[in-house]
Amino acid sequence: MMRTLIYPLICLLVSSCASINSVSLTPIPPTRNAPVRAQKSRVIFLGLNFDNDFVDGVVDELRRQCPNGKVTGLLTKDETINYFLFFVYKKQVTANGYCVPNAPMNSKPKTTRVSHLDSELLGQANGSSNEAI
Amino acid sequence: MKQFKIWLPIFSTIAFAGCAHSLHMTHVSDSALSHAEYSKSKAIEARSEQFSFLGFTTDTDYVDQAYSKLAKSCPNGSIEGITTEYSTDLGFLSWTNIVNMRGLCTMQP
Repeated sequence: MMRTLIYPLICLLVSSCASINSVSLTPIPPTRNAPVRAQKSRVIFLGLNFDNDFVDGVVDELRRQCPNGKVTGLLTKDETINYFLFFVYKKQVTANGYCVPNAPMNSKPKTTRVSHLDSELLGQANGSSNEAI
Repeated sequence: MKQFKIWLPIFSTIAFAGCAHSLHMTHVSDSALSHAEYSKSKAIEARSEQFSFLGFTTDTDYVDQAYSKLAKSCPNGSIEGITTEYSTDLGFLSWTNIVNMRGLCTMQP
């Protein structure tokens, strides 16, 4: 009887239970050729955890994977994975997104043409503000 | 005692109904759409679920499924103003985790 029960019991104790704490998603770009992914985790025993610095590594890792672009369409998952009788658990943060390359530098910059009338009005505005001072 | 018999079912119905659905978090992403782009955009939605009995779940892949569903529903455009909801529907000794994502699909000119 004991032998029959011991194996299911061990399976139950060793198996992990994953649960989500929070999920967030940023705008998804139209070009999705370059996926990026970063995952950081920490195993915590008996709830003894003195800082949450492991999360900071996620941003650095994403930046490393996309040095010349913008990371967007980021799905961030904060999850807890419970192990052995909930004495041991893992906090895990996963970020999936896309690297969108920056626009080339030789593209024409946008310029604003200021007309003669506009500059006169600007001058008048400046003059009036000076008078007020 | 007679009054207790009347009030007990009413009270328990209210108490259990109140716990039947639980919204854990909502996140709204930023949106840089102009008024013209907003009026041209199309509302899209993706939902994914995970059934759990006594809390035994080995992964959280249903969140990634919702994400890929949302991305597939707007293949050539950008998705902005995304609202992400994470909630749980409670049942007898079991529950269903739900992730719902809603956004605006805009085509690039």
